Amino acid sequence: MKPRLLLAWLLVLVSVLAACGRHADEGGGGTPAPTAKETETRATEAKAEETAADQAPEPSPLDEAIRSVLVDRKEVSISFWTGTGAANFPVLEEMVRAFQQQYPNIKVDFSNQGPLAELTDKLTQNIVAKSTPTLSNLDASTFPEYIASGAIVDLLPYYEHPEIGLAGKATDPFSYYIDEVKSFSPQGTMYGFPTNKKTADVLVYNKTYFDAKGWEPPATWDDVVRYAKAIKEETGKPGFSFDNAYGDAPFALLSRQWGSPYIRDDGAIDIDNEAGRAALKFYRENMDLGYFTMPALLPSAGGKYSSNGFVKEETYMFVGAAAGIQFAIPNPESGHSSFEIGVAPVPQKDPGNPVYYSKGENYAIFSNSTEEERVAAWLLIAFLTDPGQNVNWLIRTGNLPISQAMLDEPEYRNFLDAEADNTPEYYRAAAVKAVLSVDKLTFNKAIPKSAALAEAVGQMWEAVMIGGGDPDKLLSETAAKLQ
Amino acid sequence: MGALPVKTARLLRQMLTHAFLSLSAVLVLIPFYWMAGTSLKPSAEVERVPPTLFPGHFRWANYIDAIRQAPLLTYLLNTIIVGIAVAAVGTIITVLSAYAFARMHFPGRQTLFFTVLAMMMIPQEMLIITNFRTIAEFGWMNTWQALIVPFWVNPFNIFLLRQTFMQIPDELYWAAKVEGMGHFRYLTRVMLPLSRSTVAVTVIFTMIWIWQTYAWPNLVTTKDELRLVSNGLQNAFTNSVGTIEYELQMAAAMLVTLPLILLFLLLRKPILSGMIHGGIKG
Repeated sequence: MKPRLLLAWLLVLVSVLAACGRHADEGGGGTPAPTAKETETRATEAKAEETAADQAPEPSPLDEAIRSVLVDRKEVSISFWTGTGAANFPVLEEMVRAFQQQYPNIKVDFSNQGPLAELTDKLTQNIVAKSTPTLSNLDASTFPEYIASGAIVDLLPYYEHPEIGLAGKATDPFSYYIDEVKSFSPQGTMYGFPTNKKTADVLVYNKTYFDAKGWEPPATWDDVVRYAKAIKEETGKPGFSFDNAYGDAPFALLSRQWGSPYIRDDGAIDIDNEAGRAALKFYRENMDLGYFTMPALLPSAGGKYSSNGFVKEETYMFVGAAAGIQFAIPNPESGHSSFEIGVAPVPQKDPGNPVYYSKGENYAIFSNSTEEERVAAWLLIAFLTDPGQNVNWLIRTGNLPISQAMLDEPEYRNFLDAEADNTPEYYRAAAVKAVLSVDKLTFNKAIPKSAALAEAVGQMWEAVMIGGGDPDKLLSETAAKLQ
Repeated sequence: MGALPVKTARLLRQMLTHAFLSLSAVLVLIPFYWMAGTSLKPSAEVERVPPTLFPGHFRWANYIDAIRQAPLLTYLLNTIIVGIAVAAVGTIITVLSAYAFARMHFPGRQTLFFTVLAMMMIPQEMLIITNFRTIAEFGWMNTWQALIVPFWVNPFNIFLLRQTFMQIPDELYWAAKVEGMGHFRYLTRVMLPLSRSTVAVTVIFTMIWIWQTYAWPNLVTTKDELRLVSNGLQNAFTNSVGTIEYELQMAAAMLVTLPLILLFLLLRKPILSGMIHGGIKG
């Protein structure tokens, strides 16, 4: 009996297995086997899908790095150098700390290398040593040299990236700042990005004296001469001075206003022309008459800043950087005179064709870095450009807002609209408003000889104005030296 | 008329000498006085023209502000660490070199010694470029070794100690040789105990050298945590337009100078004795 039962179970099992196998061959649901046409269609479709996959763009190194830093949260360490005063450094440190809180996977080694000239020297030394930081401020004049040597990277892909870029967004800087950094290199590239350390020159004047005379702030150089002449006749002192800490600042501004190209669009230096000579002689003639002066000739000033002499009423007007306005506020405890100061835009040769220069550094990312480090550095740049993060910095330093979004920050608006109270904060706001009242700021094209040009023109200016040299001769010699 | 009486002449000579020395002392002390005075003035008084010779009122808080604004203690600690490291290894190199030049006889000894002396004539600034490239090649930027290793050899210290070693009588050397003492035992058991003051002077000179060196640390360090007092204080009190807060800078300068002054006052006897011993026999 048992063998027969076993045999029966085996027969049932085999039957079931045979039936299942037939069903699998038929598609498991009774689906009939595909026809030859269907097979060919399926093969064609599969081939089309494969071709489409081949043509889809591979993610770029930048996209991969962005995904690595932002999505995968890969740990990245970068170094950031700045060159700023010791008093302002803690404010920047706070901003960098806030950045690291927002991006915990990015570590920033942030250090202050001292004045800009020292920062520039250290960067150049460290390019040789291949130990440059990831990110640093740079003066405009150093960009051509660094670009030519491949030391810094093109920031345009980062600036225009749909995910991390700033182009066209609310925090995009004013167009003249972007135009300036794009001018450093060939079209289609952008090796720098404006920092939050931008400033411009303003006219600072003795408002108490001006109000007593019923004078409005001078809008043209003819007004400046007229006022300076009256001041000289009444007080015996020169009425006007011009800071020359940025060596070529006075000549560059005046000659451009008089119509000199200074640096042509093709990068050629063009300073020895009729306009340049006229501008040089204009200032020199007024110095000879005692209406104008130089900081070095002011008894209390010396050096290249007029503020020390201005606060003692050794002169009554001067042109200097807006960010340095607090040094022009008189302090009677320090033996200064007691008077109110006013701030106005720089006077013009032709108000219909105004020229106002932008000053200040730009960011650069060094090529001695990985793609992830560059992305992290760009994220830091974007953070340091954020309007909310910059309010405290701008109020404390008097640097200019570089975007409309910064200008529209409510706390910053309150700072600009504060009532007159003779405090440094009020005058910083006044200086910023004086700059913002102009339509746009201009710049000189940065060329490899920019630093040499600034130095040579600065020396020429001092030789003419302080040394009494012949303007035509010295201008020709300077131009020849720079060819 | 005859010459002055001897006593009067001697008195006059003494008065002139004292007057000259007093004037010299005043000229040397004026900068220190100005530094101390400025460190105690409020900022408004520092800017005053004409300047005040004595603080109108004392602002001791300048010292606290200086420590707060700059990581002064970090700079001081770094300088002490570098000074000790340089002095320790440098002294060993100095002692062994000086002994070799003073007592050992080998071909080219004189030529090598004069080469070492000639190195004293080369300004440090001329060696900076080559040394910087070497440090860069080694990958030693922003490291302790970049601050320490280049200072291990000091030709002046080698010269000074060699002169001291040469004053030790030859008889002692021959007696030691008879007793079977080798060079190293003779150096450690006889020469060094007799030259203690000069060795102390070389250590002190090394510490002073490290304290005031600026160019090299400024070149090889960009991180605040590795800066020394010299390059650390240079920009610590400068604002964004380049104006210096002199009252804070002078307070910081006082804080870093006082340890050196105290060191000299405590050790002036061995310093002077070491200088004298080093200078007697050429």
